[in-house]
Amino acid sequence: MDLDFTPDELAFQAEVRTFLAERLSPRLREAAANTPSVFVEPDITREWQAELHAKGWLATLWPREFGGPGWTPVQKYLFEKECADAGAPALPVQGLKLVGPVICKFGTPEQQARFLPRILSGEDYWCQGYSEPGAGSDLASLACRAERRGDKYVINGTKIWTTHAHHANWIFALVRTDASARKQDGISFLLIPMDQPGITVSAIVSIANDHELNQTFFDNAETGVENLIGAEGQGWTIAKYLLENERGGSCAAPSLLAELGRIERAARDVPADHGGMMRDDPHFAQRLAQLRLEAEAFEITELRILADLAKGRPAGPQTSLIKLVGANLRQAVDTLAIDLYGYEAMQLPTARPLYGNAAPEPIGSRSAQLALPRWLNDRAWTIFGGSDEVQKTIIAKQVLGL
Amino acid sequence: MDFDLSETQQLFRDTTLRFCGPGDTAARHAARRQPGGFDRARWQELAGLGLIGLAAGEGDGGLGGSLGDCATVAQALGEGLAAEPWLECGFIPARLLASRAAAADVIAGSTLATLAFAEPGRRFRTDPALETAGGKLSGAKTFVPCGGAADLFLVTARHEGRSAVFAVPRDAAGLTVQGYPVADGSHAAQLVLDGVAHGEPLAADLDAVIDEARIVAAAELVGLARRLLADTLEYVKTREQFGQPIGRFQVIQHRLVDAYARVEAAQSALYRALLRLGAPPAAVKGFIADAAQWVGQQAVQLHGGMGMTDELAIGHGLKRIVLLGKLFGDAAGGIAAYGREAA
Ligand SMILES: Cc1cc2nc3c(=O)[nH]c(=O)nc-3n(C[C@H](O)[C@H](O)[C@H](O)COP(=O)(O)OP(=O)(O)OC[C@H]3O[C@@H](n4cnc5c(N)ncnc54)[C@H](O)[C@@H]3O)c2cc1C
Repeated sequence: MDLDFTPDELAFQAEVRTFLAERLSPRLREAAANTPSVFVEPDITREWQAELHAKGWLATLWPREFGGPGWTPVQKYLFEKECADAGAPALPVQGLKLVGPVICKFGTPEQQARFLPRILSGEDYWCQGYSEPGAGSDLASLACRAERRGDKYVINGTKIWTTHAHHANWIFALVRTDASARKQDGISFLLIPMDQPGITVSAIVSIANDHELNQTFFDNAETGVENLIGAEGQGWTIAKYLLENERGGSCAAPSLLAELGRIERAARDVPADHGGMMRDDPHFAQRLAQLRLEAEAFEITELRILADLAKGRPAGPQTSLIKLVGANLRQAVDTLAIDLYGYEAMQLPTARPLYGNAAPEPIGSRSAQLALPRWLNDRAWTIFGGSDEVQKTIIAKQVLGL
Repeated sequence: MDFDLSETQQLFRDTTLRFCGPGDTAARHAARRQPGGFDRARWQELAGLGLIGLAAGEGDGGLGGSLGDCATVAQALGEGLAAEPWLECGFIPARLLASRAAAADVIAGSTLATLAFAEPGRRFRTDPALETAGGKLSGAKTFVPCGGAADLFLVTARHEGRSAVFAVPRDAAGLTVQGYPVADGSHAAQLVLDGVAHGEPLAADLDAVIDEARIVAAAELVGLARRLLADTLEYVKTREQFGQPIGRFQVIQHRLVDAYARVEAAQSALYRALLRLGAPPAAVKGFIADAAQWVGQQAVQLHGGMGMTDELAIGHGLKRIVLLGKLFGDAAGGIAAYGREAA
């Protein structure tokens, strides 16, 4: 057992660090740090995406032939870690981490040639149409229909919680193409252009005042039959492949550790009620240490999965553990932040964004202003991509054999 | 021994719940869009029901309600998810102003008063660092509850070696008010006082009123937790996934039993505090706030995506819980102080 990186890996890490120092602009750093929602706005991600694309470092989960950098799992980890430490904005997952790998794996050469370059260039912005009002955890009960008519599919129904549908020009959706088949077998994976009269998007504002979510309505919306991925009825298999990427496709520990570092530094300047600074308050210091221990252990858990992957062993249901632990840790870190800032953490601005010239003045510090909106929005981590309860059931069945 | 509400308490509870109505979040949103995030008409209505007067002494033009009566109203406001800052702008000013002339307007709902106690860089401390000098107040206050809308500030200051409270109207010369939105959608304020003239300090004992306010806050927290538990119970009975109501899943049943247990413990802790038995108010409020926040988080979690939206009562309740949890000190501080005292 060792944690040593090879000279090549260390050289790679240094290269990433240099790149970040040169290309990650102050504007992007500021926007990333001051985004309290789960997803970063496209005007920011586009700019960062273009930088990474030019370098060939964008689609880390894609095979090299489609424009991926061809990295080893260790390189992917080092890249994510350096990005987290430097405070780079999170990239839009829907295109790069969700539908992209699906098209790489299940798409036809025509589909690959048409869609993949436009994901890389940022020309297409994607949203994910899985959940429906009646189909959340029980995704397979989804009801949105697609009917084949000649060389088109006609889509009717609704999708909900579609993150950034108001920015997207394409949606990938799970739709029911065969109502008579067993639940899972009647589902297909369809790519649908958003800019058409049959689609309306209505905003859903979050408890923190952010607009990320939407409900998307399909009223005789259309898409060409060439936009079906895989075969009719193969949608469920594809969906499960995608969900594994969604749950375990990145390294979360570095960003958690970086955030704990920021909280610790801030705590050195927050006076405690009984003298001294909050950093030295015994209760606070113990909570900080406890979370550090958990995040440090979590980092090794993530590395163990990476090491398995590097040896060609499949990750499988362990990704559920990563999702579960990462989500709860994130929420605990957010709670530490609101508890640190006290009254200053009670500000909850309604204006967005919280970066740039038009951002509302914070009371105290910008970090304090971000603490509560972040805490509120991050409640979603234990809900989306398979809730805690769903992950625990998966682990109980598939890992513990219960 | 009897833990039932008295007849008058039951009456106040019913009146308060009627005032809150079905608790539609549309009304709440409407209130928050008014200037200063505050609905004056609703406030007048609340005052008209005698609910502000309840907190003032009989000799001071009020109804002379006991702390238990006031806690009953606060709990009902929590259950009804009222947007009105009855604790901050009703109970506290009524207690502090007592026999002052301004009390009448506060009781009538025509003057909105609030306590300006927190100071930048002094975390949860309630002993003011701001000092009077030659009849003037100079310094800063922060997190003044509903300060964005308030007409009258009850400013805490160190005066002749003690904590004192001075009534300062919003339009006083030398006072700058900057409102900002906070967790529950109301607008708090930062105050800058630059040589603001002050009169005689109020007669009331600041620390005693803050301790009472902690208990009243705890009562509202109990009400909020009850409300979120009730809404969640309702939701899990009707929301179906995998062909059955999600409330049939054992993990959800057990989680809600835990929530129920914590709510009942919170209610008992509140009663104990009202009987003035045991822990100091700051610790009791901390204990209750922890329970309420946990229940609120479970409510969001068990509502799934719906829990994340501004449309449901759930999020509004959770945000009010978070705010009350910090008001006059957080759980960690309150419980640690009890630990030091008991040792
Ligand atoms: C911020 C955010 C962004 C999202 N983005 C997208 C997106 O872009 N595209 C998309 O398609 N979806 C998206 N989602 C939707 C997300 O995937 C769903 O919210 C999630 O699948 C849960 O479904 P639900 O909300 O219907 O909750 P429900 O399934 O109704 O669950 C309610 C509660 O019941 C529990 N529960 C359900 N079934 C069981 C069971 N069998 N045993 C025990 N407990 C159970 C759940 O854990 C939860 O606590 C997003 C959600 C959020 C909050």
